[in-house]
Amino acid sequence: MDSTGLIALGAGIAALGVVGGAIGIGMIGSKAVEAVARQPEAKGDITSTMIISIAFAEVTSLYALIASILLIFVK
Amino acid sequence: MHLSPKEVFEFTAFNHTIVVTMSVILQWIIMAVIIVSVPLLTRNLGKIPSKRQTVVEMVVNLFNGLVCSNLGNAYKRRFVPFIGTLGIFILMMNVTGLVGFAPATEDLNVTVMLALIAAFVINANSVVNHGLGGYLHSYLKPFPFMLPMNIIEKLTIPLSLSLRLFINMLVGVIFIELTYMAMGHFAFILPVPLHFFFDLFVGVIQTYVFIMLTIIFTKTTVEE
Repeated sequence: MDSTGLIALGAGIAALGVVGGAIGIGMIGSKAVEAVARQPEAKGDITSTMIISIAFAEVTSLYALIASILLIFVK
Repeated sequence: MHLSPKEVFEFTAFNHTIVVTMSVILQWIIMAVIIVSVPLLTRNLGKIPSKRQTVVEMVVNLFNGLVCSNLGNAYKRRFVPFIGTLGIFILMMNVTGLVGFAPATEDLNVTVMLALIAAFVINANSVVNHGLGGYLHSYLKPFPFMLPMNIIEKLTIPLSLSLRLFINMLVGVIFIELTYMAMGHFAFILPVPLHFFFDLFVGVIQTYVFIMLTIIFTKTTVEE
């Protein structure tokens, strides 16, 4: 049975999981901007902490993305 | 377009067929570049730095600062060579898209290898610091019934490190290949910003994230 359409539909739904990571990264960025505005001298520390936090938040959406990519490419 | 790595040639040794892929050849080239360029760059260093020496000192100071500000000065001699090599190697693999090859890190085998090396160093450093008994005892902290959680935590370190680098570079490769496929023979000007973003920007950020996470995981195992 040809299931290409269902695979494409499933890949699209699986990729919706990236929304959570995007919201998380947005919140991290906004808080980092507030922190830098409050204490400009701590900019270097805040930036490196922000990048690490983004990496942790990002990997959750990447798991959703890998499910979508695997659905399309692995037959 | 497919996910499995591109095979270049294969040879037979001891009744095993060994397939050499494109990412392996790219790594050989990058290793050769590093091995040749390091003695050339560090020749006749002096008290008064030349232009070349200033650039090399900037790179070395960058890694010194990263390691010393997070782990302390005691780790300088042990960790700066490892972190520096990891950083330069991953960075050079991430930016091969600029010279016409897909980045070697879009192959899952490469990133899993790098993440396993990092996880081995993290755990070995814990063993060196606390002894084997102390290392095994750290699995039972804070309570003995937390053992499954601690084992899962140790296993997710290489998993998340490898998948993060792999997916970030793979997404860039897919986007750039789709652009080239869509534009056909008229692919000029428009792919340049894509290369700039997906190869340079994402590549540098992911290199930084990889080495910073290695340092931070090492730090957490030291403090236990």
